[in-house]
Amino acid sequence: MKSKSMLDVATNRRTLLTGAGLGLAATSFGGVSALAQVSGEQQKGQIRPIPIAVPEFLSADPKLGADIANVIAADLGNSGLLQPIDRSAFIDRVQNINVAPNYANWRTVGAEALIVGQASMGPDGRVQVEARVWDVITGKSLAGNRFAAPTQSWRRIAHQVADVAYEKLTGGGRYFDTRIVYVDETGPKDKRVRRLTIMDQDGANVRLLSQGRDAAITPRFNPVAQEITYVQYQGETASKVFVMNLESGQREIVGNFQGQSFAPRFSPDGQRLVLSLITGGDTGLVEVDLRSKQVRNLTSGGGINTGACYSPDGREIVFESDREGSQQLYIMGGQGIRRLSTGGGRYSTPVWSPRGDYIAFTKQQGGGFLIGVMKTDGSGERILTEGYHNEGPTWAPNGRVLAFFRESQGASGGPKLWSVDITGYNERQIPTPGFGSDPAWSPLLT
Amino acid sequence: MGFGLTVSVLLHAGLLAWALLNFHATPPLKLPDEIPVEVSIISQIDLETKQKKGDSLSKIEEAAQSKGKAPSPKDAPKPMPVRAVEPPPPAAAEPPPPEPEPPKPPEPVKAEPPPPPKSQDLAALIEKTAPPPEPEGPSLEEKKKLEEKIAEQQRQDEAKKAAEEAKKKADAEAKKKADDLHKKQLADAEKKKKEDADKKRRDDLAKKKQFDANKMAELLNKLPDQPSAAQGAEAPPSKPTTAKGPTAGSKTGTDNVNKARAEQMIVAMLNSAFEQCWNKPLAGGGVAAPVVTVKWNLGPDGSLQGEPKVVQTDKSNPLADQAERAALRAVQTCAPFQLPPDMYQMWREVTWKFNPNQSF
Repeated sequence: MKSKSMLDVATNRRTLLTGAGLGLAATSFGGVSALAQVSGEQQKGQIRPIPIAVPEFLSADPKLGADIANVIAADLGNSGLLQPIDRSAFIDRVQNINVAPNYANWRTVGAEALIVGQASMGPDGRVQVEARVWDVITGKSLAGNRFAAPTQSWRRIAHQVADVAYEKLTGGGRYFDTRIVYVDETGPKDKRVRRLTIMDQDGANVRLLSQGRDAAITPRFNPVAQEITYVQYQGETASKVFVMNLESGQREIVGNFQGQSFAPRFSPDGQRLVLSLITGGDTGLVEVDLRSKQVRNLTSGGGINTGACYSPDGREIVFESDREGSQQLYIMGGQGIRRLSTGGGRYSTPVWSPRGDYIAFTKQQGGGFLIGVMKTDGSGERILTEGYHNEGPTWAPNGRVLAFFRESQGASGGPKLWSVDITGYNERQIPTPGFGSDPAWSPLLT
Repeated sequence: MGFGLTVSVLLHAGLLAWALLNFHATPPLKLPDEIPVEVSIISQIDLETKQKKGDSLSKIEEAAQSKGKAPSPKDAPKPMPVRAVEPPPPAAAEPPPPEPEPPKPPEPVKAEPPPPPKSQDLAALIEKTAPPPEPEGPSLEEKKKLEEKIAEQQRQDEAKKAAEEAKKKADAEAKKKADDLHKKQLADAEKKKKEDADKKRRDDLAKKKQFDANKMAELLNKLPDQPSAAQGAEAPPSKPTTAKGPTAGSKTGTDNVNKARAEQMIVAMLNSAFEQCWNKPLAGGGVAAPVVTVKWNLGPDGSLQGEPKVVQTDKSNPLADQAERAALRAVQTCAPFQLPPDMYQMWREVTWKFNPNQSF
């Protein structure tokens, strides 16, 4: 029996060693190197959200204090990496945010981190919020910030507090203080009205950007400004590329092209646009300088070249093309054009991650549309979604979360917005008033 | 019909008689008295030991017997409290109550043993957790030895046969006796084997019920205790052993294997603990969190002595802070550590490398 147990341990170790590549694997090795000292290595651990406590912020207006805390908790919970604890379980009450909390009381309720704050109205009529993030296990203050904004922008302050906490606790980049532009779809399936709409990333503060007389599609954010580019149909067939300033509402047409122009996207510096242009029977890529209005052809020859997207450094462009028969992804840069996608199926809508490490795409395979990512050398392809029709990926500014739309089947079906982690976990629906498609995630507002 | 029956009866009787004679004509299994007696005593005592479960005397004999047999002293585990903090050290000096306990089915060792186990409890626990002697190994060896001796004896007998015709009758008697003894011994061995198998099955079942995830109790009960159980059983319960656990052999320098196993066990226990306590740093998407090495000291009860300290991290990694905090949180959350108190000298100081090995 004894030898069996030893065998079990040994087998377990071998198994774990071989499984180490899965990330959830463990190895147990080490030893008692010297007297009174043991050492070892840990590879196996939990991958679970960090439990956090977000008590209501102190405020003369209790509703405001609660609202701010609720928005913070919702943001952090939606990230999938943090797990707000139900406030009814708390056994401690925050009296003063500038005094170190009683760590034991927060540990007792299972919290590993605590976010406290207070909100007040400043003499200038603006909301002032102070917030602190504590690690209650190690007893350390991780962050302390002060924010001020017009009263109606209290949600933005909450998003910024959540961003600070998220960054400190997970190491991931901020992305809560952002907005999403998408196409709101109303009316019957064969006669849809498509209007550009903007909202906060959590679905709050929805407002229309276009009236819907002419369908507007494929909005894309300027990475450095509150500006979008999109395609608007004029009549049934003619489509034109526009740029719209979100603050002023001003919009202008890009280029004076004879044929249809579509699938625009900003360069990382916001100075240029790459878009597709139909000339004759072919579709080529052109780059437009927004200041000089100069147009440069990026592709030559026949076929369809579209869906272009710059790399974050602006040196390369990923696009889709049928130059070798089926629809595949290619990258053009200093060394010419190279093929990126190698798997089966048809690839489209490539989007380069703001972090530069991955390219997201829509893949058509087996009658379905899937969202996936691959590394910039074409390796490591992973499908992140399941279901019949997923399309139009867009990256959150931290390069960790993707939004896309999923079309439901049936006569009453329609598209809805969803988000998913780059890990393929934590898929969540983004609330919209009606059907929504073609999401575009903004850069950070601040 | 009557004739046929008679013939049949006669033929069968003849056949049986021939078979009987033929069996008797096989080389006589003359055995020296010592061998069967020795085997017989062992199995008998073993049987009694099982019946007198809890009797410390029988424990001594059993241990002595097992020492003489094939299983090494390592096979006898000693009870190891799973929770290091709660149970006070066993009152070994206390004399055991003389009355033997009635036999009872083996029970799983409780994860949290009852307060101060007395010697009697200890003995009972030893009995409960002691793995049964190898069901086949020793008896097979005995058989082999026996057969060799038998063969030798047969050769001697044949030599003697020619010279001592007169003693044939006496030999036949001795042979018959030996045969009976041999049969009895085989039957005993068979019985013992069966009982051992039953006990093993019960023990296995009890252990399965008792513990789940990390089999820490299993490790506790098996690995470290082997020397101490044998030694503890050898010594009278009233006299506590001077050396216990894996340190026992260090004076003679003979238990390196046990020491290595104890080390493995401690590492495995810490691995198991951190498997639950360590929440891996995970910002996701390409950036791998760095390896963090943390060092800390522990008190005899497994509690943290002072603050755990990060001794090594790749500070250039953007997730260095998060990885460090995750490792420190793991140590703080896991404490107090449940490690064998009698091996405190081996885990007084811990240096642990937290390797996220991130590949989502």
